[in-house]
Parts: sequence; structure tokens; C-alpha cells
Amino acid sequence: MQIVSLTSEQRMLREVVREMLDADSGPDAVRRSGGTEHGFDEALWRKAADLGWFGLEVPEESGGAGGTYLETSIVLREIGRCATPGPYLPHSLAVAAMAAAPDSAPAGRWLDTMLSGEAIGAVVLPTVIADGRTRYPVRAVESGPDAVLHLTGCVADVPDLGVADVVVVAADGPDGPCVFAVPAEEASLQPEWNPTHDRTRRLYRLDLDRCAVAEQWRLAAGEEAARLVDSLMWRAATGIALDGVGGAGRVVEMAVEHAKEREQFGRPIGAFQAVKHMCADAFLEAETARVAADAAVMEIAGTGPRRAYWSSVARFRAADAYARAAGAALQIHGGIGMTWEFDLHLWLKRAKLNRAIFGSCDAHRARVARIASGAHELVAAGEGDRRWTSR
Amino acid sequence: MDFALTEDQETIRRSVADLVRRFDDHYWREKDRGHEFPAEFYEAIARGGWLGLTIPEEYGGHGLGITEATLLLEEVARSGGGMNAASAIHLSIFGMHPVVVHGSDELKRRTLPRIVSGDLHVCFGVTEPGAGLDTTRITTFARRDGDSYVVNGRKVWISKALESEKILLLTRTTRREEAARRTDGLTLFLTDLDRAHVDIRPIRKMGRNAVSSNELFIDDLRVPVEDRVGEEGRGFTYLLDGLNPERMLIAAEALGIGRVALEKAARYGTEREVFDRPIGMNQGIQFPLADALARLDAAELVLRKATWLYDGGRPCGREANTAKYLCADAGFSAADRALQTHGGMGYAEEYDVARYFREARLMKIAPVSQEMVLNYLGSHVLGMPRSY
Ligand SMILES: Cc1cc2nc3c(=O)[nH]c(=O)nc-3n(C[C@H](O)[C@H](O)[C@H](O)COP(=O)(O)OP(=O)(O)OC[C@H]3O[C@@H](n4cnc5c(N)ncnc54)[C@H](O)[C@@H]3O)c2cc1C
Repeated sequence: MQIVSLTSEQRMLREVVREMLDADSGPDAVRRSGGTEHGFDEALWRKAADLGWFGLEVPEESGGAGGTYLETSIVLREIGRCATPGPYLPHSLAVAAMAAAPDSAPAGRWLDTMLSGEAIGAVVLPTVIADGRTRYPVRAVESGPDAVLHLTGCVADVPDLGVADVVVVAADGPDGPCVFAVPAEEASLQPEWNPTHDRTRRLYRLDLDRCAVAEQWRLAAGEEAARLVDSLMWRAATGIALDGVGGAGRVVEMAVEHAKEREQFGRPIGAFQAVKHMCADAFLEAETARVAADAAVMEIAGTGPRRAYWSSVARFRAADAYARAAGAALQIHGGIGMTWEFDLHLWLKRAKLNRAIFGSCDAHRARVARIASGAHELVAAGEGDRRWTSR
Repeated sequence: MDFALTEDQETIRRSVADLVRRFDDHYWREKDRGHEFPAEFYEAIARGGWLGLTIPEEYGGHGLGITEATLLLEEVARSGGGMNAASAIHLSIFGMHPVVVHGSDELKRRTLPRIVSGDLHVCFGVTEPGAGLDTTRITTFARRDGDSYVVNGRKVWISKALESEKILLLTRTTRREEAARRTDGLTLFLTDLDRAHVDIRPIRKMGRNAVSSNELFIDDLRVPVEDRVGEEGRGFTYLLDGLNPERMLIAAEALGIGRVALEKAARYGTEREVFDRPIGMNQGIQFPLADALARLDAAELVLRKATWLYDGGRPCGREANTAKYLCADAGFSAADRALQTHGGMGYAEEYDVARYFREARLMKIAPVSQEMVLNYLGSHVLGMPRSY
């Protein structure tokens, strides 16, 4: 396991991202944009695109900055820190899918506009189910006289599907996994908003009923698709983890600040050990989550052999830690934490939702148990742990 | 709703506390260290007439209920005797229940008065190496041969076997595979632990060392038919009758240990000064103890409700299981925090909290584990599918 140490460029990137989000995505802005029609601040989105956030790890020849997942992770973490609404995580996954798709695929059609932020991407991925295995909610079946592929299935809780221009759909096909880039204008793509208490994020439900696949949608098939789906699932899990690491760090800061300022019985409440220890415990939660997420980031950035393991560890560890740290922060704030005006609930609600998207914490725990117990044999390191897609 | 104990119950509590005060921490520390059965304590309890607390009056007992029995064992554990004291008498206090309810009059006359006088020591043989919580998988077999049975098999963890004359022994008389239901075909005996046919080997263990727990190798043990409890093949259901009261007794013992550990910790926290003030002035020390108190008090309430239900002849599975679960947890965490409060001294035998800690841990495992209690509550109370 490697510990992340940032280069000076990476540190600079973090500073720039933080500065911009502190200025444009403070709690007031979060409340405002969360309540708009599309649920995010489009001006901020364009700014992010202009600053090149979407192409950080896309090769230079494809219009990106030629970095690694480490750079992407810096942005995702800062976004978590501010609980910024918007399709940043799903978009980053869709971009990764386009960038990784083999040349023959029609991904190029999308990549440029996605890097410039004009086109927004979303993803429909297989889920990690309760026993830790992978299940594809969408199937691609051949039917009709010409054996045309059709997509069928019902998916719940897809983040930001409603604003997407293109949806990367992973399906279980007749010859194994396959991945498609489905344009949002496709008539059978009718996302249904499923409102949650977290106003910083939008989840959708999608019912695909025999949606005929057009040839130019194909992103990957066979071995390549299996690898791509794995890598997207690791990134999804790690992305949620990074959001949690950023958010947990922030709520701990808020709690500590409050504990130092608020006075009762003639002294700051942080002088009471029960409060002080709660802060320390919350800090510990956030730190261990950060270490796990760092490990996952380094594995993904370096195509290490333990990507599946660390991304799932990071996913449940960080999501749990975020929720616990936010809970502790709420306790430390006392009555004011319960008010609508006070901002803490923005993070608390996001933390709660993080435990449920891209697989539950328990499902990822079960997956880690499967890996640790060898229930899933890993194939030769060179091939990565592709068998994770086994159904 | 009335939370008060009756006058008689209060008297029992006080008298027991007075009686066992003589056996101080020093006594138990030495017995534990020497792996020595607390004979003097046992004698005192027997002479006080307490062993017959729940045995029917016609056999020389007092015919009292589980409420009184739990008060007794709670005080015994709370005196600092902990599980060493409780286990020395546990089986006499309520373990004969299956015999009382299902045994023949002859068997009862032959054994119960001797339990009351303290002359007869008994142990309880259920667990086997291949059958822990999954009791119906036991394989120790009793083969009928004329007027007797011939028993062969192995038991494990049998407490007090070394010191016992008789054993309440669960066997199979029909193999599990051949029984109509897995709970059929088990037969219970109350019989002599004949050393010529039973090899008894103590297990070295982490605590409660004044009372042995043993491996039993049973080789052609001959058991007369008269020693059978009730009918052949129905032993499992006889045991079921005793499960709820057993859980309550164990809960009371755990509660008693938690109480004594907490008292010690509160005293130590008030007396010990570090950084120029009592350590108990730190919330980091005081709050865990206050929390332990709240948990013990809550657990005690469920226990009282459970025994009240049982003595009133009402269903009590939910409460008995909950009481065992909460008391075991509260007792252990009180002991754990008491140890922490004592710092390095907590680790020294001299302060006794280490002994409480080792003993309190047991009730989360035996006679039924915390997980099995949750299984019960999940499937029998909440009606969820059985998970195992
Ligand atoms: C000091 C001591 C004294 C004892 N005295 C006696 C005695 O006098 N007479 C006697 O007959 N026995 C005695 N026992 C045995 C005791 O009753 C058993 O240890 C107890 O029933 C647990 O069984 P096991 O140890 O075989 O654990 P197992 O049954 O092997 O269980 C091991 C673990 O798996 C868990 N587990 C098992 N099944 C499930 C499930 N379905 N769902 C979830 N979790 C599960 C358990 O909770 C436990 O944590 C004693 C034990 C000790 C330690």
C-alpha cells in the first residue's frame, strides 16, 4: 500500500480547486443551486470545464491533461468537501469510459464535448449486491429476425441521469458484458426523478424496455468490456469514498471550530472531555477513511493488483466515517445544529445518501470479505482482477 | 405497575448479602488462583438452606420462584464471588428443573433432598466437541440393554464435573438421521458419574478457575433405567422448559459482576489522584462509568420483568433472551471499564477487577451466545426468516 504524496503541481491543483469552490460553492451557493431546475450551478460547471477538471487524466492527444487518476481524485475530494451539487462524479466516470474505449468505438464523438462540459455524461453500472457479487440490472438480448440487440432492465438510484446528454450503460449481453454510449435523446430513455432528502444530489430511476441498440452506441464488448466495467465500478466506489473523505474532513473542522467558540459553564465546550473526545473520535474516523481512499487512489492510478479490494474498503470505510463524523458534528453543535438555517445538515444528508449509492456499505463489506477469503480467485496480475465481473 | 420487591424478597437479598460477606475478595482471589473448589462457601450456602430455594417443599426445599433465585445469584456474584461463586451453586439452584417437572417420583425422592442439603453435587452435560449451540447434533449415544442403557461418547466444557457425583446427561437414543424431527430422539438422564467409565479432564481456561470445566470421555457407562428423566426421546423438550429460567439466572450473575466491578471503579476513580486531582474528575473516566450504571439499571429492569412473567406462568421467551443479552453486555462492559479505570492496577490480580473482567466475558458466550439470542429475537419475535 502506498501513501499519497502530492507533487507541487498536484498541490497547486488542489489549492486552485479549493479556492474556486470556497468562492463559488459555499453553503449558500449549495442551497441555491440544489434547488434549481437541474439541481446544480451551470456557471460553475462551465468554469470547471474551462479549468480542465474533466480531462485531467485524459491523454493529451485526446484533448486532456495527460495526468492520472490522482488528479481526478483531488477534484472529487474537494467537491465532497463543499458538498457541491452537480453531476461531477458520474461525468468523470463517463469520461473515463470514453477515454478508455478502444479506438474503433464511436466514443470520440462524445469525448470532445464532454471535456468542454457541453455534453454531460452519466453511467448505469452493475451493482454490488448484498453477498458482495456483481449483478447487471440491464441485459442486452438479441431479438427479432435480424437478431438486433435490445436493452432491457430496471435500474434504481442512478445519480444525475436527468441532466445527462449521454449515458454509458453496462449490460449483460449474449456473449458477456458489453458497454454502450446511449444518447439521451433516445426515446426509450425516460429517467424518473426519485427525490431524496439530500438536496445536493439527484437520483433517478430508469426503466429500459426493449430499447433497440444502434451500432454507433457500442463502446466495448467481450474482454474489453469486462475490464472497462471493472474499472468503472472501482472508480465509482472510490469516487464516493473521496466525496466522503472531503466531507468528513469538513464537518470535523466545523465541529472543532464550534467546540472552541461556544461557551457554556464559563468555558468553551471543547474543554469538556466528552466533547473533546467526540471531536478526536470524529477526526480519527475521517483520517482512517482518508488512508483507505488514498490506497484505492494509488491502486487505480498505478493499475495495481488490488484495485477491487481497496476501492471497496475505501467505499464503506469512508461512507461510514462520513456519516459518523457528521453525526458527531451535529451532537457537538447542540440545538443550533438542528436548525434549517445552520448548514451542517447539508453534509449530514449527503453523508447518509453516500452510504446507499453505487452499492451499499454492507454490500462492499461483503465484497471485501469475498476477496479476502479468496471466494473470488484473481487471475494473473497482468490481466487485473477481471473475474470480478463474474456473475 | 409495581417495581418494588416484596418484603420477603428484600429479606432474601439482605440475608444472602450478609451471609456471603464473609467470603471476601481475598478468599475468591485465592480460590481462583489455586483452582480450588470453594467448599467453605458452598457449605455456608447449603447450611443457610439456600440450595433448596426453588426445590418443591415436599422434597425439602422452599418452592420459591425464579425471581428469588435470580436475587440470590445476583447477590452472590455481586459480593465479589463473581462466577466462581455462582457456578459453584448455579446448578443446584435451578438446574434440577427438568427433573422436578419431568422426573419420576422415585428419582426425585432419591436426589432432590440431597441437593437441598448440599450433599449431592451435580453437573450438566450437554455440549460436545461437534455440537455447541447446535444441540441436536450431539452424538453421545445411549443404547438400551435390558434394564439399563450403555452410554458412549464425548462431552466438553462440563463445569464442575470434577467435583460432581452425578451428571444431568443429554444423549441420543435415536440417531439424528433416523429421527422424525431433529429434536426427537434425545434422552436425558440424571446418573452417577462413574469414574471407572468416564474419564474427566479439566480444560485450562482464562477465568472462573475455582470451578473446573472438563472434557468427558464416556466409555460404556451403564445407566439404570430408573435414572432416566421422563420419557425416552423427549429430552430436548425437557431442556427447552429450563432454557428461559437458565437465561435469567445467567443474566443475574452477569449483573452482579457488573455491579461489583462498577462499585470498585467508582471508588478507585474518586480516590486515585493523578495530575493533582482525582482521576474521576475527568469526564473521560466518569462518563463511561455513568454510562455503565445506566446500562446495568436498564438491563436489570428487563431481568425483573422476565422473572416476574415466568413466575406468573406467562410466556417470557422474549424477555428472558433480552435480559441475558443486555445483562451479559452491560456486565462485561462495566467490568471492562472498571479495568480501564484502574489503569495498570487493573491488570494486577490484587485489585480483583481483572478477575471480574475474565469472568464477565464468559456470559457473552455460554450457555448461549449473544448471536444466538439475536437469532431468537430476529426469527421468533420479529418473525423474520431463520438465518441458519
Ligand atoms: C467456562 C465454560 C463453562 C461451560 N459449562 C458448560 C456446562 O457446564 N455444560 C455444558 O453442557 N456446556 C458448558 N459450556 C459450553 C457452552 O454452553 C458452549 O460453549 C456454548 O453453548 C457455545 O457453544 P460452542 O462453544 O460450541 O460455540 P459454537 O456453537 O461453535 O459457536 C461459535 C461461534 O459461532 C457463533 N454461531 C454459531 N452458530 C451461529 C448462528 N446460527 N448464527 C450466528 N452465530 C452463530 C456463536 O455465537 C459463537 O460466537 C461451557 C462453556 C464455557 C466456556
